[in-house]
Amino acid sequence: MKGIAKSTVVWAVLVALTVLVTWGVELTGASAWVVAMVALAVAAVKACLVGIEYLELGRAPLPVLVVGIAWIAAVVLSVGVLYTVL
Amino acid sequence: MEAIRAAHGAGGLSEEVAHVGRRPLGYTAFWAFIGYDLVQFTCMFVFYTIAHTQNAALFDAGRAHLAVWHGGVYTILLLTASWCVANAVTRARSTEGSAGRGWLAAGVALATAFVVAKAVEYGAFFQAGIFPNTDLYWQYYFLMTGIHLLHVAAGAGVLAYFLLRWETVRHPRRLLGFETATIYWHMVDVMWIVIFPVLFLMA
Repeated sequence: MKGIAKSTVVWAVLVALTVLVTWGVELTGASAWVVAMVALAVAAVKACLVGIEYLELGRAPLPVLVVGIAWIAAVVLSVGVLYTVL
Repeated sequence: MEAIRAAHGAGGLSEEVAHVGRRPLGYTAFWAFIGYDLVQFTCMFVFYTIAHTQNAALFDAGRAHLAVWHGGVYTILLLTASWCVANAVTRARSTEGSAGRGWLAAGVALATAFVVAKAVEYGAFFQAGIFPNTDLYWQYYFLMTGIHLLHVAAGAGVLAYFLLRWETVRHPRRLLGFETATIYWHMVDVMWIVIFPVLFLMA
């Protein structure tokens, strides 16, 4: 039951973050760049949560966990840097 | 690897499944396929971002046709489906295996709802005269969401297969196959988690 409770907490956090970026960020009147960076950062956090909890990377061998987190970081950083620099 | 490979009869596991040591979910070899798929999507994200920055006005005009809240709802559908599927795996490993059927059924229903919602969205675009060949933005939009949609449909189909054979899922061989199917499903979820901000939120 403990594992199910944890997965439920993670789900609630994921939904809350989604609501935040979908309905909350643009209401602040922040610039497009800020909205984009916040959205990407939240996406990275959400992807890590899904990876560690639902994909069980947290219980996988360390190299699998490292590669998984590194992929998320690489994708978000690539998109963020290209969006900013180009 | 696991202690569970023992302690199962013809009908399924007879005691709580306990993991010993660290192992990746499902068949280890399947992670290579996951890596290959993720590399493809990474390339799409990078190429899309480059095209976006070089055609900002065109892409912003295309994005104006999207309802951000639709993207939010799609995301919540997939996240909730992943939660249900993860709970189904937990139940399948335990003595409460029969309860997993309900969780998996909910996951399949939510996945199906996503497919239907995207089909309705595509239909609305087509009725508005927006097609994959309309311009560069829509080429990327339909390519990225279309490939993702195919992944969702395939994932939902595989999960439905295990749902129909739930009584056998708790056999260790089947359980490993079911876990592998859930890897695919969660990967599809992670892809959408990145697609959502890239397509819907980055102006």
